[in-house]
Amino acid sequence: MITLAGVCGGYGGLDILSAFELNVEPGTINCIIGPNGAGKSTVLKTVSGILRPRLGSIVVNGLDLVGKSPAEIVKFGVVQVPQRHGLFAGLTVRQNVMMGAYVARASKKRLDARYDELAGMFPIIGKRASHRAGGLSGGQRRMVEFARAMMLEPQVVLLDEPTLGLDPLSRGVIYESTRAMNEAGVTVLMVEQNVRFGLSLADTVTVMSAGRVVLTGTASEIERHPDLMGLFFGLAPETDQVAE
Amino acid sequence: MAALIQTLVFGLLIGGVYALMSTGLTLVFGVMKIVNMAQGAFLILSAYLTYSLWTYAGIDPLIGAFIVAPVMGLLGVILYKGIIERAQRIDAGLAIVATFALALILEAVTALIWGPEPATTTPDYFNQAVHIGSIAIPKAQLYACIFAVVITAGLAFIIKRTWLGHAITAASENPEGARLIGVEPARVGTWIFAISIATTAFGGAALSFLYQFVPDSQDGWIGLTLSVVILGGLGSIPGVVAGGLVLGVAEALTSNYVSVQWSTAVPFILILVVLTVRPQGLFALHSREDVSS
Ligand SMILES: Nc1ncnc2c1ncn2[C@@H]1O[C@H](COP(=O)(O)OP(=O)(O)O)[C@@H](O)[C@H]1O
Ligand SMILES: [Mg+2]
Repeated sequence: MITLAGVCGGYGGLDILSAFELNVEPGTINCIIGPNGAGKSTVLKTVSGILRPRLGSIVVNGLDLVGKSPAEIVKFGVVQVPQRHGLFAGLTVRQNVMMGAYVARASKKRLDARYDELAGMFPIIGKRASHRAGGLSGGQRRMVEFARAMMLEPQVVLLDEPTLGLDPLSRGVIYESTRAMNEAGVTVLMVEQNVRFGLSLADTVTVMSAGRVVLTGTASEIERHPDLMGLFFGLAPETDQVAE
Repeated sequence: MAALIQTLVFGLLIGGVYALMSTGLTLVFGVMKIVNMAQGAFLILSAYLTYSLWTYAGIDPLIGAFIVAPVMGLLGVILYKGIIERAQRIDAGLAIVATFALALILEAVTALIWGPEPATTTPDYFNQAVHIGSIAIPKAQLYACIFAVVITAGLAFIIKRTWLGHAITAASENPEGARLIGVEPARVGTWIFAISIATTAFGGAALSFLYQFVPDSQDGWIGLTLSVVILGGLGSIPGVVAGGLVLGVAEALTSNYVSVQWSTAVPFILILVVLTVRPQGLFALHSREDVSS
């Protein structure tokens, strides 16, 4: 479904990702974990077309996304919810969600129907439709971002640290919503700082450090892996520090 | 009392026209963070084009504006793609310097084509008035103001209600977030420039029958439109309406009750006062910090 092979790239001259590899099966939830600055967000931005990789291929459902514009990628059904600043404060909740269909600009009737459907899944967009998005709490904003990502019935949703800065209650809502999106047929590729949360949701987990994959496996394999905690203190097995 | 009402009516009408002349400037600033120093030059160029349609084809300025608007819009796209966008890629400040250079070039070009003689259009309504009781409303100002209301409302409609308008808001508030949903800020920028420069056709048409103008009138008009935009709050459309009306009324009151000489100083005194009390202008745009999550 999603295959990244030999992806190298970053911002400007410097490579952040070096020969990054990833495989996500259709209909599953994959979670990328790794220390701060490992390049997790960079992976997602490269898939969504915000960054263009220097080398490598990114194939989703048979189509190579490298070189495609973010708009073409959204149209193809791959949508990213960014780590921060996803919404437009000056637009209402409804307008924000509708912007998820910007690349299609379908008939108003169809979009209205889709909106009502999504309001069943994310009640906040029904209750606060005409509120300015700027006035929502962190958890509510996430729900609006999720709803917007779902507007065009995507194949893949990329979630960048969806629980960042949220209280436990909102984290629970994110958990349920991510499950619901997945059950609606969406393949989820997410990034999480909160390892417990990531492992509890994911089918497969990719552990990355310094722009490379260090471990991949099912969530339960990773959970029982002896090196995992070490990795989170920056002591990846392949680094020199382990030698002592 | 009647004299006061008369003065206020006059001030409000002219204020509406000031708002119309300034909408393009505030739009470009709000979305692209560029102060278009060529706004006055675009207004004067539009006024001359309207003037030529009037003198050579007998086309009324208010109708001529609709012919001039697409031409100006196209010119806006060409100048944006050819100069402004490239300058902006090098440095945001350079784009502003480029618009300043553009103003000087446009001034020279209008001088070459139309010469230094003062021009003005004189449609038959330019010196007529409608009377309501003892109040006389000059038709020229009235029509220009109605024009201003229609065009500004049209722009507000585009911004508030259309896909393009929402894309404009999205791209100006949060360019990276906009890209993630498939809105390309660069493409939105082209639209903004096209729309803003096209609106100078309407401001320029009003200018053509309300005032006499020469090529270097542009520096007076950039001063005035900048004043309106700063007063109203940079980037805000309701702001230019408020800024225009406040300025129009203040000027009318000054020239009627103080002296005509002082009325040209009014915008600058007002700006000093407003910026001292409310540095963000009358209407401030919401800041980007609002979106952090
Ligand atoms: N816009 C940017 N320009 C240049 N370097 C960046 C940019 N964003 C992130 N980086 C760098 O790329 C590396 C990986 O960042 P990121 O992918 O955001 O890490 P993570 O999401 O894993 O915390 C970091 O070293 C960071 O400093
Ligand atoms: Mg990150």
